[in-house]
Amino acid sequence: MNRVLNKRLLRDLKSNLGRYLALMFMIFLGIYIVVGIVGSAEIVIDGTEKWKEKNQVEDGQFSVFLPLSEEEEKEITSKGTSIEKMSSMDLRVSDGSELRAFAVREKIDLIMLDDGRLPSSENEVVLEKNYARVHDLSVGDLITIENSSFSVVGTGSVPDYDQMLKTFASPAVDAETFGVMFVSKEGYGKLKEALPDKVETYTYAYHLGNETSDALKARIEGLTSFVTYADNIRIEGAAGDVIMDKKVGLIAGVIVLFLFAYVISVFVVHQIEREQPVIGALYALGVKKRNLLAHYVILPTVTALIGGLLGLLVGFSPLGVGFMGRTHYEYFSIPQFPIVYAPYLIIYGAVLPAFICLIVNLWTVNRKLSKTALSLLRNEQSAGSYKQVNLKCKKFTVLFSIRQLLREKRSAITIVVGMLITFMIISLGINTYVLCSSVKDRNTEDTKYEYMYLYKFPDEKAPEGGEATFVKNLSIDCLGYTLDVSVIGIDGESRYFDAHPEAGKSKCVINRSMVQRYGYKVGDKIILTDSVEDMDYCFTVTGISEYSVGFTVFMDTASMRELFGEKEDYFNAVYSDTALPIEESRLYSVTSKQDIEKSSSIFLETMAPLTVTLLSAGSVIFMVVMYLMLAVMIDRSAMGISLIKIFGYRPGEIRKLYLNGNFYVVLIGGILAFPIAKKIIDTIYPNFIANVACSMNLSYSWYLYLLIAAGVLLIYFAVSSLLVGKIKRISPSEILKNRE
Amino acid sequence: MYLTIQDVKKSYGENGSYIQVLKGISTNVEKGQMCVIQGTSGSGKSTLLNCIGGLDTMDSGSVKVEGKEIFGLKPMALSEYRRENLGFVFQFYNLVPNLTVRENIQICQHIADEPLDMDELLETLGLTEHQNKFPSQLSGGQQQRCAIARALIKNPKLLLCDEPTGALDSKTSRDILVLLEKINAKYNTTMLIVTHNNSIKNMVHKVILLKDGMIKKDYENEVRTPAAELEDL
Repeated sequence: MNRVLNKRLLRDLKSNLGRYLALMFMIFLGIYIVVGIVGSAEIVIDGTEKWKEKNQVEDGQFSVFLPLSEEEEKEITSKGTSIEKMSSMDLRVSDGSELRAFAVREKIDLIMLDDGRLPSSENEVVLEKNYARVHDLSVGDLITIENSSFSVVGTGSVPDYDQMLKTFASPAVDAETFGVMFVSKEGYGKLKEALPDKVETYTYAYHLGNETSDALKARIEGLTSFVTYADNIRIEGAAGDVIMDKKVGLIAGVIVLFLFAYVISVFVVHQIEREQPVIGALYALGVKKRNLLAHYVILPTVTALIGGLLGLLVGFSPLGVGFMGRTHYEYFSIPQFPIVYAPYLIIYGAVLPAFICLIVNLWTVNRKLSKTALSLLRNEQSAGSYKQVNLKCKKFTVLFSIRQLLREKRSAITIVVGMLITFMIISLGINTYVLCSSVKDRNTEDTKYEYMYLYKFPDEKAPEGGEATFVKNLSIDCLGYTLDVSVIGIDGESRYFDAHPEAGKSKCVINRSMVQRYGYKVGDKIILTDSVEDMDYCFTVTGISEYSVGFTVFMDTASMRELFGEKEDYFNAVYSDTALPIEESRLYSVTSKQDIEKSSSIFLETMAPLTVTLLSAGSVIFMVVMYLMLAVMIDRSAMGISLIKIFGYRPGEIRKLYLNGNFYVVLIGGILAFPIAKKIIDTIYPNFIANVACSMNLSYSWYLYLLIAAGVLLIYFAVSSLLVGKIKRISPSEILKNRE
Repeated sequence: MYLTIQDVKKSYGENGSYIQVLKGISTNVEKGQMCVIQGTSGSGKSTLLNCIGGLDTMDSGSVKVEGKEIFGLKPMALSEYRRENLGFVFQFYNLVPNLTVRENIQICQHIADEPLDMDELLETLGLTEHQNKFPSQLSGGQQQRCAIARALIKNPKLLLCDEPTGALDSKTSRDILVLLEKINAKYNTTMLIVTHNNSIKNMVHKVILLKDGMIKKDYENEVRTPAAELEDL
């Protein structure tokens, strides 16, 4: 029997080719995006795993005030732990950017070259790949660093600077202003000689022997910092960042597939309703339900299968993982990893669409085919649902539109669900834009100082024109990530920070970013960790400052000095409106307002492609789902449209009756779906930025709402105008076919 | 003459499977006349009705309603012609299933310039008590009465009925015909009724008998039998 029935399949496909192609395209698009996002994440995760093993990533690193003596080194390595000196100096490049100079590593955190070779003479340098790309430098070029010319002999990356942050408290990577460079050991020695005023940071990376990090830490004296592999946000920054992409991609993919499967089932149900008498006749002639069930689910399942396979193929191509993974390579400093074909992802793309489609269609089609032969033969309509609704509306067009919507509620609900999913995707994109844009604007606005000097060896007296204070870096846990918190001492009225902390060792004022990310309020207790001292501090929040740069906590300076055991006049930071004549060798770093502006805007630039992809994907899904569902509504109303054409209805009047009601579906759907979608995305959004210490302002301005509404209306009117053509093609004589 | 039909020809198909359904039909119908177009299956009666109703195009010939030619009119003009002049009644009612009786009638009331009074019409057709019911809650006769009410609400000059009793039992058929007769008398509506039922011809003013696409007989009844007295329906 099925062999005979299946002869119809090609004819069905032919007569509904556009529709099946649209559905196939949707599934293709969904799988392509999922495979592209998740696949590129897998590549980064797998590649990082192999890279860190091959290039001997550190177990941790520590910095000390003075370089370790030979005896100290011997003592530290006595329990099998190996260390490698990774001292560095921050050097100024002729274009104003900064490069952190290291000597070439031999045992730990080895360089992975993308191009060229390691430096062998004093004036040769290997540049970090993204710095080289952004500054348009390649092997063979010359670069002027601290007035000396160096020849670029290679470009590459190191595992301990996967996320190229200048400091652990830096808000973002910015290859325009900061990178790392490697010179030969001799070259590094020459640099030190040539630049005696430059501050050198004495950092050592280690591979643990028969001890733990805590035990090692306990044996080192004069520590200025101690960061384990797990706490180092520069390491595995890319892999950590993409884990959420992977999870969200997979879940969002399944949701979208269910939507598409349901859309397909609406078509199949429509086809079954159209063919009710034929099915009834077949039942009467002894054809079994399972034969018909198999017949009706084959085409949608094959459509989903082909769409999924195509999505999988393109998803794994340079157009997929290559294109979607591009931002990882541009933001993080990682080598070009080979494509990884994760088996679960292959199953996801090749099997899941067809499987979900099969399940959804079996469920819906089975219900439709469960009527008796007689009921099918009589073509009985399930009028039960609309029978209950008596409308008192006086205006006929409104009344008709409501009736039409009640009849087509299945399609209308699908449109609203489609809108919900679309809005979730769009909200994700807009949230990203709004967040990055807000971080940029607020960071610039809230940075009142022009220069911030962080001391390594503070003067006894603060330089004139500067506001001296005590700054200490602690950390806080954020959904499994350790993020830096700057604790800033405030002495009375500050010129640069609008915070008024009360005196007290356990009292603090937190900034707006911490309120937005953790929901803290006045009276709450917060715990901050000093990873160097291995100490937790508990503070009571006594106020909230509008200052939104990173995570910042303000304390009364005197109380802060007392808490952290510093002298009464101790300071290690100076803020000023103008550049101050501070000896460079005393400083850790100088940060200008311009640096903060630049690093804040990097988020916006990096996230722009993702925002555009999400907005485009959301709009396409919305457009196709709306078109397909409205087209089904028109198909199901073909007899009615034909009838009113016979009565002499004009095109505008027909449009008013059969299309304009959908406007209210879209309007009400939008009003209902958008806040829900926004709420869902806002709730899960902190997970996406768990590894970034920044403010989280996700509120949209009125013009964004206006733009979204305009976009929705634009899509609606575009789809409606396409459907006008479909209505035009329905002939008045269609009704004459309604003969038994 | 209200309706003038001149040498109407219509064919279907192409090349090998070419069938001429109407082979030059000419006739006239006066205003207020009830006219039956009768014939066996395939005689061309429904095609003729569709050509007059502007639902189908003619190959050649002329159809004039109140002197206005409809041959060659564009779809939009045909739509206006139907809107201003015609009412349709179909064999299978073609009511909109998700609209109540009243709402189904409102479809045509909505586009009429001077519609009849809805409540009076419902009363005339015996639908007052059913006005808030949906088609699936009505009998076949009630559904056809609703379809007639829908066609009449805009007070059409010409009512085209395609097998209006074709799906009904004998008693209900008689009721519908009585109703049509009543409407004809009350509103002076010109009616063209396509039927294969031989008895209906006795109640109308004019009979056109078609066979193989040609008029076999075309005559006016000198004596009409009231619908209520028709037998063998």
